[in-house]
Amino acid sequence: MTQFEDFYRANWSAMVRLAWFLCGSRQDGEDVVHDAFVRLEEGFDELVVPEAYLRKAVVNGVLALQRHRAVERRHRSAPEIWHLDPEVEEVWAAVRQLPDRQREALVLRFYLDLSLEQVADHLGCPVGTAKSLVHRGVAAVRRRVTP
Amino acid sequence: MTDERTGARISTALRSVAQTVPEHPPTSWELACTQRAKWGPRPSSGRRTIRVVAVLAACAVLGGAGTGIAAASGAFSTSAEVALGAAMHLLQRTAKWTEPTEMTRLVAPGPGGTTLLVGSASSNSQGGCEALAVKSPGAATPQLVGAACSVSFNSSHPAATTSVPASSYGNTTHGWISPTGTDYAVSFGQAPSETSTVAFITSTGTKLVTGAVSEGWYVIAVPASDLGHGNNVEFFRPTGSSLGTGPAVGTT
Repeated sequence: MTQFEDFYRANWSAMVRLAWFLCGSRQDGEDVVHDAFVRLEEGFDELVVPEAYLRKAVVNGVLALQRHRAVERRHRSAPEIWHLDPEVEEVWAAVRQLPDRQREALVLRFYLDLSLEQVADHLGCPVGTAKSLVHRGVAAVRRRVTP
Repeated sequence: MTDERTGARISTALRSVAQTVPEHPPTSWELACTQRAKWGPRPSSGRRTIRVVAVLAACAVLGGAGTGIAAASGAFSTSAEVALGAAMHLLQRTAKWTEPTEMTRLVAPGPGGTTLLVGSASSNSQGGCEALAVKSPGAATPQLVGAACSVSFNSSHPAATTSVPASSYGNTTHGWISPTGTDYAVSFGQAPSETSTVAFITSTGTKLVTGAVSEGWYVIAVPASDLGHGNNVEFFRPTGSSLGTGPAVGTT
């Protein structure tokens, strides 16, 4: 097994989860991740921290997808066939219904446990904007779920 | 509820949802790229992820509550189709579709003199369900043998005008056991616009005309034992001339 294959196997799952949460569609997330691995493969041997590069590539891939596929956003709430705990499902549904930037900020903050500074870095925005996105996203989720 | 509490709930929910993703990729990197190359350069040009939902367990209860649902709905008027309708209704509920759905029923000759009843339900762009029932020769009613549900399979494929890679859609639907002891598989996908019939080409080159076509979609039922041997499906015009072939299930 090649070094890249090992890297692929070790990181595929985490990246699919991240991309899925960021874009709201698991299928789109899997495609973004595949594209990111394709780009990474070319210069893989020269990368010191390929994990960081990969994560950034996935986040950027999702952001690009959001920009160019606005017409498909209505599919974000498309049914995905997982049997989840009702409370989890309620929160997940609320997160998926958020505007893109708010959802992205929440995923980076509460799934990856990034600091607000890191969230801002990933989203390419000022820290104050990231803080506002997180705050508004949390407020929107709170309004939509059972207390 | 405080921001911290809400944040904690979000974190918990996301981590729970994350567990539905397997720990490792379903294929090797090389195969993932091979599939990608086969299905086109852009992921949006051909969805190939299929989710099989729990169908064997569902089938076990279909003779009861599910049959009642289908009968009450009036969607299926004959007893021969009740089981199929029940499966599809259950699948719709499982998939939590909220949009109006279209449902079609296809009847096709099956192996060994059986009659195959294939139900196909779609929800606009969001996905579809397939259900298969087999009626044995002489039997009064068919028996449901399986069903599958997919999401996001509707995207047009570049090759759709000439052939359809069935494996894009149906490569996990095999393994159903029919009343006659035969494993059946179902492949389904978009058919070229002029398609009238569809055939499954076995590993020995034999063409089994077991499929049915409706409104641009084909559904084809085949013996699962023959899968995995580089099978193809072939599409035919009403005149009998071929529209081309595409790889069938299990060939990847």
